[in-house]
Amino acid sequence: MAKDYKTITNELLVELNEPEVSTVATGVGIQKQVANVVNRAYLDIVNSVDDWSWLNSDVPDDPYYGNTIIPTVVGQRWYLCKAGSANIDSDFDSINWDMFTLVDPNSPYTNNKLAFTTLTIWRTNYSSSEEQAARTASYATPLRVIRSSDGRRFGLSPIPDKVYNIHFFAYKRPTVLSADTDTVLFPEQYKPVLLARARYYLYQFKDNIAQSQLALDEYKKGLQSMAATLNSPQPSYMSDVRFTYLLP
Amino acid sequence: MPTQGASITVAGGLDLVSSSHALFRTPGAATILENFESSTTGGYRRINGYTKWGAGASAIPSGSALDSITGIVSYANGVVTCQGSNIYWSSDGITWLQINKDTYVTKTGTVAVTAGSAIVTGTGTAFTTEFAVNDRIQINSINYRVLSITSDTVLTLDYNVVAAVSGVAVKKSGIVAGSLSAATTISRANQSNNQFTTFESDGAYGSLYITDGTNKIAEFQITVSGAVNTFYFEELERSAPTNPKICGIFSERLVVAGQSASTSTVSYSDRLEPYNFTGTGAGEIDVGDIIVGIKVFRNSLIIFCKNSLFELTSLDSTPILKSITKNIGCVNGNTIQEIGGDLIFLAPDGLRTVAGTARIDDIEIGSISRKILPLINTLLSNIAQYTISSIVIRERSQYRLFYHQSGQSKSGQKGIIGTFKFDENGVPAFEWSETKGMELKFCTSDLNNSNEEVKFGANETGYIYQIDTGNNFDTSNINAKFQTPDMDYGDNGLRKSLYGVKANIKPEGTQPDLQMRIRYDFESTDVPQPGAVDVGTLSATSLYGSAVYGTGTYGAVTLPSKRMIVTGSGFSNNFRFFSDDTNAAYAVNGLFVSFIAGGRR
Repeated sequence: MAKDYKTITNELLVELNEPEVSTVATGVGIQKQVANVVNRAYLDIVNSVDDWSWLNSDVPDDPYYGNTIIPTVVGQRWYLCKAGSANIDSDFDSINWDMFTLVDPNSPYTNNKLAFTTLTIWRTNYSSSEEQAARTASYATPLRVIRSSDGRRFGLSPIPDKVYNIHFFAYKRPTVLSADTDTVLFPEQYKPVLLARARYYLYQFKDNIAQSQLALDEYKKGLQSMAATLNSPQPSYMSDVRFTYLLP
Repeated sequence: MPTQGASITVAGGLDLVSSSHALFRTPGAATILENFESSTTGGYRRINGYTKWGAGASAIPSGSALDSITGIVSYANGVVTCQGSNIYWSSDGITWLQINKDTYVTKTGTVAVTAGSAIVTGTGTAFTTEFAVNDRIQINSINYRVLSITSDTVLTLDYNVVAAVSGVAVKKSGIVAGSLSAATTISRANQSNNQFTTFESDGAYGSLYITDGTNKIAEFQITVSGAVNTFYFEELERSAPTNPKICGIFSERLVVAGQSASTSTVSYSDRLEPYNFTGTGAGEIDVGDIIVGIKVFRNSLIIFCKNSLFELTSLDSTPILKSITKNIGCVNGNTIQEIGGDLIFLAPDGLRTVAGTARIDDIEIGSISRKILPLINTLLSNIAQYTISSIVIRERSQYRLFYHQSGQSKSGQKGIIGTFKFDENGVPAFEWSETKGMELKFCTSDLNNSNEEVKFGANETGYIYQIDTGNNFDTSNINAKFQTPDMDYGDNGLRKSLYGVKANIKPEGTQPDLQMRIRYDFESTDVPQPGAVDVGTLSATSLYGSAVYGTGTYGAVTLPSKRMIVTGSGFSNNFRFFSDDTNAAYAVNGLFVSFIAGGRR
């Protein structure tokens, strides 16, 4: 068992009673179709949940405010979420906009939980005053984070008056599988989820709707379990406080 | 989707002309059928091989492989071989006797003959004890037959003497094997493409006549007395055509044709006297076209010419020459054979039968080899490079034509096999296949005195081979391939995933190396093509009473059904069975294919 591209492709080919590939790149016909479907299923899993733990962009820093740090520049509002990214394809897959934190590495060590503010609200409430202030190079400590309309940048409000570190959680885009030895990023334990999704497409290809539906059910169940286990393993409690008030 | 099945009965033989779409409906045919034969009992059978006659002790007739063999024929429970400038006979392939020898031996006394008379007068002769009626007798170097014997000193020859002599020795033909080597050789220089015919005269084996287009007609006979063979050899005189290429027996006569001076003339001997072309019953007929072959068919002699065919009858009275066609000829006389109640020959448009040609003249549908037209066209367009030979294997109703190319490797030597069968509708037809690696330049088949069919062949190695024997091509592997046409199981628009194939294969011994290969969608490179799968070890049935303990396979079934797990999918597919070994033969009789249909993409 392995979770590389060739192994997964061949597992599906065997299921379909088709000849295995020696290298994925040289596959033809149904082999090519299976190889394509593996990537399709892989991306489906990626797209199904925003913040897959296995897509973390980096190891979180200490203090634990995020796995990505962007230093601010005095007087600059907008920053690329992924520094140096050339286009949307190389940007992060997703960002947790509720978890932006500003940290002043120097005294007075300000630590602000930056509230996400929509562009509309920011325009309505803050843009004019901040623009006025900016004309006189009058900046302040950011309190809010806003998302640019292209989704590639975050903006700070107010415009920073010094160098701060902006911490947030970002999740990278996975690379589609191409070489035989390319591996999927999630644990091998969840390979059946990918196989089920691929099977869903392949049985559609073969006009076998019944088998396709079974594969879809298997995929959905597998994905739920995968998401629960990988993204929310912590215990979840629900408190009922009514008794508190009822108690004498 | 449920698994479906398709049963394919293997039949029809090689079909190289039908469109791929038409072949969807005849999945039992073959698009490749090399070193297989269409079995008379159904299916395609891997052919037998050929082995040196005499096995490990086999010998080259002349002793030298540099002497070209120019013809062979089975005779007297042995084989007559023309090689170099000589003719040889052997009964075992090990010991060869040169038979083109002066077999006349001087007898007691001297004789005198008179011109214009057939009476021989002897002095001190013992005609009654040393001669018998119809014996070959030689006086003054001229050969006669003894017509009658009056006394020890008087006998009558079968025709009048031309020049008178007296006091000359009298000789009689016939010497034993031990005397052959010392006898004087009658050279047969520059022999080529020898033709043979046997006249069932006296003696156990009749007389064999040999022509080669260069030398006189040779007459050879072996008689047996007390298990001792006596050999007779001479060249025909008495106005016999000097260098005919072709010979045959028809209407109790020796018929020859193809003399260099008269290529369109058929000459025939006197009735019951194949050595006599001067009698009242002898004669000649000019057909006006170059004769390439003659063959007796029912009560007629069919004369195959370059551009026409004739039928000759009624030699006992006034000969009747009737034209069969003047639009179709025979390309090579060595292709003519009798099979299936008809004569088969190679015409410029393929193999034909005389009856078919007589019925429809020069129309192409008269060709019986339409299904292998590409093969025939290749053969015809390069025919000058080939030495053609053919045989009939009676027990299998089979016609085999070999086209040998000098200088070509053994694996490149080819041939065609046609099996005469009746299809499911009772219509007679030939089913074709190919041979590859069967290197035969000359071949012959006949029934021996025990009524067993014997088949011999020769090539440029100098050895004589037993054809249709063993499981190798003179020690080389038999590389056999049978490939079905692409089959679509009734719907070429639907993708089929194949899961299993059951093959009905009848083995004739142990065969562990047979393999099967599937190719999808006309062997498209855009479709994944699976590797070959082993069919598994096949073992012949062991029957109580004939099986040998320790050799036979316990529990083998008569017709094993071998199941193979296969992979792949496509809209159509073909199957190839192939082996390249020296194992036992087998016959592929049919297939059962399990598949799941699904998807029109």
